[in-house]
Amino acid sequence: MEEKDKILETHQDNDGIQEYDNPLPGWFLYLFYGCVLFAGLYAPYYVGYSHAMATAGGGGANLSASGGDYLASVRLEEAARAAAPTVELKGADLIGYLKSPASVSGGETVFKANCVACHGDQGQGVVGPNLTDPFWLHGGSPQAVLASVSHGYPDKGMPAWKNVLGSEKARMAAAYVISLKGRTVSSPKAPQGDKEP
Amino acid sequence: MLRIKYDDKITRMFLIACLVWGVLGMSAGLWLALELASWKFNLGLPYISFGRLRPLHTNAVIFAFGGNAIFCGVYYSTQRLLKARMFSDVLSRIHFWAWQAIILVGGIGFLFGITQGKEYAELEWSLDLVLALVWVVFAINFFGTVARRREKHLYVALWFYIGTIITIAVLHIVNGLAIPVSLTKSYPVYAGVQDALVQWWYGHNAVGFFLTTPFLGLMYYFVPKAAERPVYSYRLSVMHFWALVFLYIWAGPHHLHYTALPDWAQDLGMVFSVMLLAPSWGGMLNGLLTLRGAWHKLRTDPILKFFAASITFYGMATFEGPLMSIKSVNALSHYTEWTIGHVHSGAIGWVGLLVFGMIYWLVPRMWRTPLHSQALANAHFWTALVGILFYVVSMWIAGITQGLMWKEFTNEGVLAYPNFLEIVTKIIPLYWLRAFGGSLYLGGLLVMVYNVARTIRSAPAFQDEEAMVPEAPAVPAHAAPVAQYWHAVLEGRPFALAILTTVVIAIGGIVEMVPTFLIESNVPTITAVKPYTPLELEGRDIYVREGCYNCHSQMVRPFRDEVARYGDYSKPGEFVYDHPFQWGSKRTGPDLHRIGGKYNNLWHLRHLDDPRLTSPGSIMPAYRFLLESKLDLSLTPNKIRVMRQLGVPYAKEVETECRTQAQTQARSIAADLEKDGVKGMADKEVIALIAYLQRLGTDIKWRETGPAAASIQAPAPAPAVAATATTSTHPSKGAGI
Repeated sequence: MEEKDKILETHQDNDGIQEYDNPLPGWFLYLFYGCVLFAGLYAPYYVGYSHAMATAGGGGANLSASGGDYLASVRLEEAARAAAPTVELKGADLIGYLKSPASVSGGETVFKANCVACHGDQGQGVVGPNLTDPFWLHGGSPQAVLASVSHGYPDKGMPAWKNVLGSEKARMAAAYVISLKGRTVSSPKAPQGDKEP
Repeated sequence: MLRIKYDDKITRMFLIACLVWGVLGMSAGLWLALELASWKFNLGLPYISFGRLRPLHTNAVIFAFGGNAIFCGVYYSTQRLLKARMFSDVLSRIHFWAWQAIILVGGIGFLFGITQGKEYAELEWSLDLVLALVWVVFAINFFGTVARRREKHLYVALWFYIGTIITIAVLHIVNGLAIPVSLTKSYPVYAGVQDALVQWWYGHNAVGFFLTTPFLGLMYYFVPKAAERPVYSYRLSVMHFWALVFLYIWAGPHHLHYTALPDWAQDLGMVFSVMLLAPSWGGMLNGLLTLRGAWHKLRTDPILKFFAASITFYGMATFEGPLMSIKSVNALSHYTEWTIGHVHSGAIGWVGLLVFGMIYWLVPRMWRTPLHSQALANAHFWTALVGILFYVVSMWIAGITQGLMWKEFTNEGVLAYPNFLEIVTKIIPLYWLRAFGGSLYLGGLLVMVYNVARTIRSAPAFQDEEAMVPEAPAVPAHAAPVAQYWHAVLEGRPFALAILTTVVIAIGGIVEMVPTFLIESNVPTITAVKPYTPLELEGRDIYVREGCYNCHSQMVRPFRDEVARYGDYSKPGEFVYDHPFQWGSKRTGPDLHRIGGKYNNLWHLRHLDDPRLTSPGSIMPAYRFLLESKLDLSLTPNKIRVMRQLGVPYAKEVETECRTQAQTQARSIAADLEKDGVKGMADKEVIALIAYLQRLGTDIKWRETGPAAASIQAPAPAPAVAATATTSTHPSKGAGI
């Protein structure tokens, strides 16, 4: 057992500052050894793991940056979605859904949160086209509007909202847009696209 | 024995400069905090918009407040530890005045957008060069004093000063290498992944060797002095000094987890950061345990209060740092306010409180007058402590809120908060709390300035302190008991110590950088990636000038939530022409790497004119002036020439035709805007910035064919309602683990 708090005998003065010759605290040394041990184990394990994931994904050079983790997470997610039961709306059911007041009022909330920046607070058009006039760039039928909202026209700046909001909210937004047709608005944007009755 | 005088005038000069810059730098910080709480604090002025003011704040507090504090303490303690006046009074004065001039000129330059666009290394090449020379002056002055010392062995504080002087020189020079375009503009020699690695090797070690090692040195001098107690353990100081300087240098890549930096470098950065915990705590232990036997003095002595709290914050920050460098923690914490909280617990907790304690200790000795008011010093301590707690806790909450909300998915498999602004507006109350904490901290500093000013006013005429010193260095201590430790030999040979330190700090950097530069597979080439057009290059320079990187990243990490929110994750080969890289370190606003083509030109124009037009609730400053200022193409040929020198494959004729090319592209964007009713933009700066933003992330065709695009569009596009979702999409299952 070493003596505690023994002053280190030196010839130097250190401007009057003395130093004890204490040993390093045991717990501190174990902390240090523990960290070094962790580092020694983690690095080879992790490098090997991410390499294996990248190789399994077939991504090759594209995946040099942690791509392995990404692929693993996407695969988990895809499997989960494939297993989830889905309900599809078609034909009259779909039209009924789009015309129902509940969908329209739900859609108004979605529209105000996500669409007004480009289409204006009344749908009069700003960056994006006017949604209240009878002119349509990509078709004005309920199905066409739903498709435009859901899948977007990314080249023109219209996002695929289904990927952002989910299909439920995207469908509600479409319902609200359909309800806007023919509404009178102040300062409407000039017509774009083809006239539809 | 010999009677000598220490140069105390220089200590007093640095002390006052430290206080002046502290007030300025922290006021800028408080203003920035207010700008985040309400965008109106940008006042519509380009000069103080967030992106330009933040470099002023960081540089002023690190290099002006911190730097002057270091020099103040180093000049005071070195002379006394070596029993010698500084090598040259003239060099001391040159060091002082040149340092203040660099900060003043550089700081004003930041307000005018003169910046290299690399965090904490924003100074342009011309000032970088002056800074390097001043550092050499400091080194000559320091080592000259060492050579003339009257004390054989160097005390631990001096080892830390030596480590600082050497490492900062290496970091500054390697990271600062650039080719000038004009006096106020240059491009770094590195691009993309390499630039990121060098920058964060520098950036992290600016923390390590500018905000840690010199202050540990000051701690080793001033804490035992103030406590009048021996240092707890000599052996611990030897161990933690060498472990700290060796391990620190490797840790930089933890700022680049999950980015396009090669995985092996990230892993090295992480494990070395984890190992760094122990030597950092070695410093904390030696500081706190030195206070054993003096704890009762804390009740009355504000200086020891400052020191004890400072060292405690050092321990907390150096626990938090390794924690945040663990990749799966970093997946959540990176780009969030948590990082801001972390650096401030180090900066205003550890560094700030240590500096305040040191100044309260020095002022009565330097001006030979008791401190004007102990009560005000105590009040300063409590105000500062409460201020830090408000600051750090609000940023913890804000950061974790951001991280979790960014990553949250609904059961249907889409982002729960697809609108980035919803997350921004959620944390605004915390921005106000942070500003409150910051104003307390600044208020405390102002109390100190008053206290010091009153003390100085009643001080007698100035005299340098005199000391009786031996005429020659003390006899070598071979026979003395200290020789039982091998390290004592090194302490008697400062130049050997300096060289050994250089070797130790060089290893980490070399191991991480050389393969990243030389081995091609680390940055696989993508043939579709082409150099920016002249107009886009000008736009990029505006992006750098306005400091957009202070709030926006350009690095989509390979996580499900980021791919869903921004687009395909970023590939290393996409950044090969980015001098400098602009990956950023913070997402106050969304990532911009895949912004190209997401919106049309009109959207960008309106958004820059006033972000609230397109994005209600946005806290971004308005960049209306970009719609009014004329695009300056006078330097474009020079810029293309420098880029060619850097290896960017522009054809030779681009150098002569670049202006015409830029004008042609500008006209085509202006024509598109004109269709939407906006006229007269063809020669405005905003056009170049839009051109750059629309180019970002579009070289690879990720929207149509990228693997990520395919996977986020699965399953088939038929409208489907997830009636029941059976799996959790909690981020911890999806990403980062």
